[in-house]
Amino acid sequence: MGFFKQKKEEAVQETVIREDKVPPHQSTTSLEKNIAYIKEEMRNSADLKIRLLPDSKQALIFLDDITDPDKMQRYIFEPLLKTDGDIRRIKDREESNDLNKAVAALIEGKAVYLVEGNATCYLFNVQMDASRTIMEPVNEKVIKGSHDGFNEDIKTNINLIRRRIQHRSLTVKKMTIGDYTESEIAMVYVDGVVNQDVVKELEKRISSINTDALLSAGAFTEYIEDRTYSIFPQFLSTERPDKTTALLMEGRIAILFANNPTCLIAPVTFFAFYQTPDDYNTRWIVATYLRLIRLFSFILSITLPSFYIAVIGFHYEVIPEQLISPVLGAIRDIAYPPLVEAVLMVIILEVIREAAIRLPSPIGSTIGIVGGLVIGDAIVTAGLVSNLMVIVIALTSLASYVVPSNEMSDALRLLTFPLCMMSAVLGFIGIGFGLLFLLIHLCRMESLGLSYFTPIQFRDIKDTIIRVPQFLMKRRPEQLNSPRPYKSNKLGENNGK
Amino acid sequence: MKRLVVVVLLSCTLVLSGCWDTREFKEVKLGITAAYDLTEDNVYTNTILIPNVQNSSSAGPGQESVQFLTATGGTPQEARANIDRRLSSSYSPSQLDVLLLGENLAKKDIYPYIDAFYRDPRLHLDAVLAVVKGNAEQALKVVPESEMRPSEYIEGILESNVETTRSMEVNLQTMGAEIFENGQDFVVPAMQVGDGGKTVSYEGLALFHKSSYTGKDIPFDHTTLFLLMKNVKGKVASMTTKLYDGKEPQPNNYVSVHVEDYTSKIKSKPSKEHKVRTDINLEMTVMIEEYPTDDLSLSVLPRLTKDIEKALTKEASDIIKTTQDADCDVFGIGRSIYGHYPDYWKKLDWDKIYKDIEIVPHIKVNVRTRGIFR
Repeated sequence: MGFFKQKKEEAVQETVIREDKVPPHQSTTSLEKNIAYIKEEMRNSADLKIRLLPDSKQALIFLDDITDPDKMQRYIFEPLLKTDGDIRRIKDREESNDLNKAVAALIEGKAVYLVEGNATCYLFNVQMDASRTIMEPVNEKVIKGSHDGFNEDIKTNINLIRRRIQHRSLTVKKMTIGDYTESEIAMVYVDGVVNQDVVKELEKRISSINTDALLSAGAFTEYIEDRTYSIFPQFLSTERPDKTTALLMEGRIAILFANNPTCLIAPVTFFAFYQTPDDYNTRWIVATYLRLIRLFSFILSITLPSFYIAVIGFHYEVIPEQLISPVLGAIRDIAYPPLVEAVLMVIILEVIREAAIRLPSPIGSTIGIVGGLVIGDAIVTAGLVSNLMVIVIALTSLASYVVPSNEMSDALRLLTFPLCMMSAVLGFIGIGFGLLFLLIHLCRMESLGLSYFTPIQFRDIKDTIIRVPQFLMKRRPEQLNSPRPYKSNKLGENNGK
Repeated sequence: MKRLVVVVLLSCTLVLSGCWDTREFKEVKLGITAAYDLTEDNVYTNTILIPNVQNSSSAGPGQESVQFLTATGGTPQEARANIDRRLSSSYSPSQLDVLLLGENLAKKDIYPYIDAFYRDPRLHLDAVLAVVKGNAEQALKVVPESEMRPSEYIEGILESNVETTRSMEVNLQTMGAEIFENGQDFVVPAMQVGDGGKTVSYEGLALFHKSSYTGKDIPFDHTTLFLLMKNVKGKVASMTTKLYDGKEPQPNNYVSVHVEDYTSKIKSKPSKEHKVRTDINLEMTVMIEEYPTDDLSLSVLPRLTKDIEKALTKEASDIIKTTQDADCDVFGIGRSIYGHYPDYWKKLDWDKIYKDIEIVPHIKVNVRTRGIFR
């Protein structure tokens, strides 16, 4: 894709030095000099507070906005009183002779204690916790099951997972990405269940990321996913700890982000986007039924408009005779060919959807009514779009929202366009070709080097197209090639009698 | 870059090659029913019924109105072109459901008129055929006001009779093979305009030989038995048979049975006397639906069963005689002989000897239910 290739002559500029890689700067015994250096390095920032203790021989330096005064009182001043102002007798502290390390600590929210005549910097962890309470994610609600969700604090998130998997093999690996942002990410997996090759591959890819700022989980995937030019998401994103746990136990890897409630799961298959925690909380027959409904809506959402266009534009022989006059009556006075109708309707619907998302929720519902009812009705009366097309497009977009994953649903809605074009040019054959290309593309895709559209073998059907009762799920998904392919999964010795 | 070029070129082949053969539904006029006639001076006319829909914008599917167009021409395609000349959008027979053939035309060779259906893939092969006694155009133009959809009036008549085993579905697909098959002929529903041109009625099954109408029919009251012998049954089948003569009041002479289950086997073999002997074994399990005499004790039942069997066997013989008179081998006896005795078949001149072969009906009736109160 030469189009997107970056230009060869990149601007020459200094590389940014990450905080943890700044060369050490030896502290001096002079308190004044040390303070001056820190002030200089922190660019005299207004929130840098320097508190000189009474005899001006000792100083406490901290960043006002990210430190907690209560903690400072408890961890520094109260012990200081007990030890008659001798900082060396306080136990809960770190020491360093490197002023640059002290600066890095300041940025993390630690307080730096300097003493005149002593080159050592004492570091105290008095970081202020600023995080939301644990709430159910708005975009992934379930009817039954746990109602907690990840929040912006990576520690809380790991806590939520650890509480669910209480075993020493749950492994957490932390890394930081971004020269400026130093965003912390955590790879979580269950050792012994996960395929180590995949872990190594993921680590390799993460360590190769070289960027100024890592801003979101979505941006992160674009650095490391297998096919950036594909419309399909290759990382499953969720904010639900229960879903994450279930996927971890299948042998997948979770990636958690600091300051981001999104958790990415890899490697995944196409069918993972169609599973929800609800499936495992309802009766298996109901869950199977819902799975089938979802897969049916997948097919519906990508093919229904193109099918309609093909029927109206090419193959009206297939219309049942009882429907001929209703269909004829609906489309007779429409000025545009069906493709234009469909595209117009899809765009209107997307505009309404986008407007409804951005607006505050009290106005959002008004937009729904104005957009849906008024425009929908008026556009038919005006003869721009036939009422059959309104039904088709409404059904299509409803079907695309059935998918539990937001990214997948967006992908499906976008896929409508190429298929509509194909069917407007070639009719049913066009749809056939379109679906063929789609299938080829899906089959070629990989998620972290493992096949994305894993062929549905009979033994993998158990938790993809249908959901069988728990005790029948004896194997982990074939795709992952887990070192522990079998789940210990049976009824007790006496079958519970 | 290479891939981009490939994608662009591929889409060019789709868009620029000029094979964009879209045919928009709203730009055609669909003929639902067509009538083919031959006038007295052998001129072929084609009449079609086109449904139109009024006021589409209001709620509901809209009122349907029908339009009739008649054109003459040397062939159906020419007539079609002549129809097209008078229509605002192009005429398409691709949704044709019923094809009515006038008696005059049917008595000649019908194949030249339906040839196009076997060649153009866009034409419906499941269009049903019917022969109209007299003028087919007249039957087509019957539009009863009580019907919601006038365009489906004739089709509705044919379909409902198939369901009650009074007619069988004969479409271009099923009869396509039988037109040219030696030793197998077919029947087509026959219709007639009645009530002074206000209704069309189903009259029975018209017997065809090769591809022309023989002029003889299986009358309406014999069709159910005929179809059961031919191993065709719709959703329900019931028959009314005259058992006795001279009982008073009149209905006491009859019995109506509802056929619950049946088996029909047609076996043919060569014979010295009549060249071929065919046995039609029809065994039915029936429910007595109507028996006004109301004397149905178990002791009477065997006699009644015998009487029914006798009456039905007589009817069956009449049917067989009609088909033989018409030279219409509708049971496919010739084909069966060809299949089982190919050497013997070669010696026969089937068209000539069919009239004289021996066909014997054996009808057995089991009465299972005498009615809900018995």
